Amino acid sequence: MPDNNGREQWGSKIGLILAVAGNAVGLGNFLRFPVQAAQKGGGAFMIPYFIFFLILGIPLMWIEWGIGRHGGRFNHGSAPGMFDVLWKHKLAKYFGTLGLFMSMVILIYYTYIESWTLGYSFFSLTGLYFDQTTADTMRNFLYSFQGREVGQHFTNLLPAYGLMLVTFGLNFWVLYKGISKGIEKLAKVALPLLIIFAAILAVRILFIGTPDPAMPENSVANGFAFIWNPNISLLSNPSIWLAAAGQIFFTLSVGMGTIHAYASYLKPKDDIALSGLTTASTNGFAEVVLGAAIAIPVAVAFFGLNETQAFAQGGAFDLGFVSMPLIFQKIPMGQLFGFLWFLLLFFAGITSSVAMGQPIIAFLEDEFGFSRKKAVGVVAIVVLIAVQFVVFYQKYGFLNEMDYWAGTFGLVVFALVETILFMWVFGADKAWKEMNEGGDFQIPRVFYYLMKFITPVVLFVLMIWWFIESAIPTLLLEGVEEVNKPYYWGSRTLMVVIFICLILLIRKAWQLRAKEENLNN
Amino acid sequence: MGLTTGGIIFLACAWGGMTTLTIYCFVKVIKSEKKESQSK
Repeated sequence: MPDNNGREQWGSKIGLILAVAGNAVGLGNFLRFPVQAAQKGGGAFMIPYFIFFLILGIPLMWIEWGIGRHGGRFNHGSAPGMFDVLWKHKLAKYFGTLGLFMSMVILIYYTYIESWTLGYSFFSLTGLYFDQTTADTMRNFLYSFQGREVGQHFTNLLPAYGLMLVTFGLNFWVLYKGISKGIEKLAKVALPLLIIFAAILAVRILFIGTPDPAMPENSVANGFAFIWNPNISLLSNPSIWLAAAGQIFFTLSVGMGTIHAYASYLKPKDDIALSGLTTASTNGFAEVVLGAAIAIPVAVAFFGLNETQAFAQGGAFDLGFVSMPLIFQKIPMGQLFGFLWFLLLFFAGITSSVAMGQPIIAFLEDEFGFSRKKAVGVVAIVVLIAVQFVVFYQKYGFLNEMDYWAGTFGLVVFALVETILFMWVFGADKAWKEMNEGGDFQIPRVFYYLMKFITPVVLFVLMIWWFIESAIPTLLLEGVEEVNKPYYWGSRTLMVVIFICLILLIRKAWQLRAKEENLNN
Repeated sequence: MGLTTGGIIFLACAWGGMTTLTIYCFVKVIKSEKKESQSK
């Protein structure tokens, strides 16, 4: 095999694309997108959605692939090292802390949510929740499983805790096997299966039609209409455009440091242009075609528009873990279809969560010389300690706080930092050359100007808007019950501790490097 | 309610666009992989 500085390599281009696409395709494709589209103007939402796909999503994809492959040349598989080679300043590596912090914090809570989908796939197959026939009892089933309430089937957290351990075990086993034998192999199995399961569900749902002839307005067709009928007048509302920008941002999993990590295992002349575009389009297909054809249309068919809107307002968990299980009880072979639904969500989740583990593992391997086994072991211990807080304090909002700062607001901050660093500090001409090096096609020149001028402005506006609209209220704990506030502060403390530890680790790594360089000289 | 003409147009364009782009990209990727393995 051609030398790649002794670094691991991807086995094939398809494997790499499936891995990065797996990182992007997640619960949001199947739960968040249809809700966003339905609530923000229906088909008209697709206008800002596609505009931001072009001026934000794809540029950021290429930027992150470019930064990643460039850093890999210098044996850096994580953001601190990558930023250090982009900008020869002692502070550069510390900006890269964000690329470790986001992915690590999200890994902690996202994997726990993923374990619910694994659990529910078993519950579907065994029919465990098939006696919960109303939204309230189904919600109680979910909450009792999560340890928030006592229910008919769950009186303690043991099943959820056990499933959490199994899910983390699977994640770390895949990460231990490495880039090609672990992550790539998982992606080559999970992503095609996920697409097949989603297609089966979408086709099944298309044939549901009108389940209750006495209520003809409750139909799959009206579900599609809810998502796609355009409300052009809403386009004059800036919040619709910001919602579209946000959706594009989240759906592509940019701003986490994970794409950089994967791209660092490319060879210097490997293509970025086509690979980046393919992963973006695969994610778009999973979202716009498959994601939009499942949860909302079938919910409207069985519950009608008003109740579906109520589920949508309740958030992704209500749609995924309350309305869908109720629906599976009402259709023939519902246990099988429920199994397919939750297994596809599990596959979508695990291909994303292994990506989130990779940056910190690569950091320990590349900057401290840890073996893969040692790096995975250390991360596993730290993450398993941190997830205890998520599991036991989930009902108090511990997870919500992490999801906001690392999984929402933090992403746009990191994306803005990296875009400015790559396109302005490193230099747009050098960045452009890097992104086009080895390309299977030359990126159209218009994207040079988009990446340099438009993408950073859009990110800046998004960041300021979210800061005013949600960061300040979140910081001030607006709407949080008094009894939950200590747990929100606990969540913040944990995140601050993680952030400081990462800064200290980066500092230590560079001190060791400087010492080594002095010894060699 | 039902899908309006506008809804059908948006759905068709979105589905058609995404599907076409995805297939096009994967075909190009497979072709470039074949080319690479032949040149080795």
